[in-house]
Amino acid sequence: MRLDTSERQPLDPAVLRAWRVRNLVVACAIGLAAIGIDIASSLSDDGHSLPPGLVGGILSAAAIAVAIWHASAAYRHWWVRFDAHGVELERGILVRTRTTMPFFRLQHVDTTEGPFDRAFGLTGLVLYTAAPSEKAEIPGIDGTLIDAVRQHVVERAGNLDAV
Amino acid sequence: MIPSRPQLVPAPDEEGLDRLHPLSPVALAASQVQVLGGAAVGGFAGGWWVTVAVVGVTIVALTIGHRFRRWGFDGERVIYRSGMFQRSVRTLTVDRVQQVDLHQNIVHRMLGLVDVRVESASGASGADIALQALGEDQGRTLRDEILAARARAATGVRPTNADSLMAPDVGGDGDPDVVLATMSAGHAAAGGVSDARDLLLGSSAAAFLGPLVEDVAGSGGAALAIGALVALVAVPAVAAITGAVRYGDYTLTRTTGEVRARYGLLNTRDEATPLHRVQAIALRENLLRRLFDAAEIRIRSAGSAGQESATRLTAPFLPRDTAIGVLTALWPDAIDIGPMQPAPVAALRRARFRWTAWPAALAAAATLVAVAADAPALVAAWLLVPLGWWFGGAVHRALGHTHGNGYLVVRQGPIGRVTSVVPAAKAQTVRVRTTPFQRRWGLADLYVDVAGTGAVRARELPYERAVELAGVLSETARHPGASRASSER
Repeated sequence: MRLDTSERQPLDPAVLRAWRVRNLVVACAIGLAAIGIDIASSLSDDGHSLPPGLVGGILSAAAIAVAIWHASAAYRHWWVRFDAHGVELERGILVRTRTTMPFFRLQHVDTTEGPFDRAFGLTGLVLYTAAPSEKAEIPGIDGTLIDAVRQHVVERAGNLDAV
Repeated sequence: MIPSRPQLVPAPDEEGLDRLHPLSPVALAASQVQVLGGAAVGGFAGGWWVTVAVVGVTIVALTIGHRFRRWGFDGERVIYRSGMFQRSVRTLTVDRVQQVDLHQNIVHRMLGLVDVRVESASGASGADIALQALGEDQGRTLRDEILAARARAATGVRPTNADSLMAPDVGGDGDPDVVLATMSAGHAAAGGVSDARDLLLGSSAAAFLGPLVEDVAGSGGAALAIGALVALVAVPAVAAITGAVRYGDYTLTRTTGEVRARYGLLNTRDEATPLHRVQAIALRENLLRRLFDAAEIRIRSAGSAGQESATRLTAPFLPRDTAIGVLTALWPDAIDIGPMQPAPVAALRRARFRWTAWPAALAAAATLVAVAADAPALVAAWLLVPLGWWFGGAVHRALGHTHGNGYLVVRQGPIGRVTSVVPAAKAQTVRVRTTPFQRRWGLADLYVDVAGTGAVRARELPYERAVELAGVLSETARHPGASRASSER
């Protein structure tokens, strides 16, 4: 994440890896559950025509494929742009949203780290205004840069009444 | 008027804050409808002593609680301390105050009490500080003092001593009230009826479809139709009475610094919001209002975001000219900023597709049922398709937007028409949102998020126009002084 440019920037490539791992873990859990249910129902039903676990296996493969695709698609459609006055970001696979937030509207800043973020050394930054309907959430900032990014944002927020 | 003054209120951890009115436990007990209901049911089931016990325990509990509820105002902070075991002290500085409301129900009026509710833009549900209750005069004076102090804070004038607060000269009550609108009990009743449109539509539909259901199902349809016809008479009557009681004796006024609504026949409300805290204004005209050339006006502040009713001043039924006059008086620059730009042709195609696809699917399903159940009347569902085609056109015709003088004006809704006005300078964030269907037609929705509840949404703009407008609005939000220069179209 660079603060010295006003160009659009993609997220850190480490985010893609983190999202893939996170999605794969979820997909594997779903797949294992599907295989388990499929095998259990096959064993309890003598008239079952398909091999035990086949349907569950197909569902698992589909879930894993969707998990990988989702992470790539979400990453591909994410960009963020900082300038002197505010931040602009776009995200979304099906419903795509571009948000512009002037820094002086900032009410408070949060940082968030999930277990997968921590594993890849990433931190998310969430910027809140006085509008409860929208917040600017920038995931996957290098953990070593998060203080600098937060400082950059807070310094530009100023001390005007933003309501 | 506050006993602890002219000295400033001590810090919250010291003694010296004032108690609420001694009768406030009685008013609180009366407002505990569920407790009173429980007492009545208990009395009916278990004898009079149950009722006495429930009411007695409630009043004793509230009286004990009353001893631990204290408040103070030192000209800069409103302080409220509560809690017996877990003590809570809430401090709200006047420069963060969005709105100060006075509420009275019938018990308050009998006892000469008033609830004072102070709102900030915290996003909390309900008022940030609710003083339940003070004496009527004390509450009104406190409200005026808070608003005067807030006006001073906004202009950078600080009181030299506490007594100067009693003579406000910056906004607040020092200015003469300009009456923007009044509403008779008849108009208030009409507002209640027009707000009950959903129930009326449901009743009408049930009355119309009842015989059809009877035709198909063989029973129940007649009862449904009769019930719906009764509802058609009863719903407007109840809604009219409710509207008249809630909004009767309505007056909307403006001073230099605030806009204020006073209304209510039984429960009276006195709501005030600083003018510079107004975030958006909406004119709402549903079919019933349009029939009488009337409109509802909603003035939205940045009060508690979790409760929409606490974030706005509403006049439910004003002559349309009066409603526009209110808008003109509050934001004169938002008037006459150019004709509404209609939605593009692509939006018409999309609207017609949306509003004919579902009726067509429904009609196809109804046809299958008609064949299977030998109920040819269901084939009439195909009439929904041309109706949907027409409605799609109406949806498109209702869409419009214009921008200029630093304001965005948005119109939508073929039946319940809503025209929203938002100053670009109030935009907290600006969003451009597209669904896969909109991207197919090159369309986008533009959202202007303001402090408080919700966003103003301009639907079905050409994508490039939405992005361009988002840029202009964001730029104006960053540099409000340049709003006129950036105005276009």
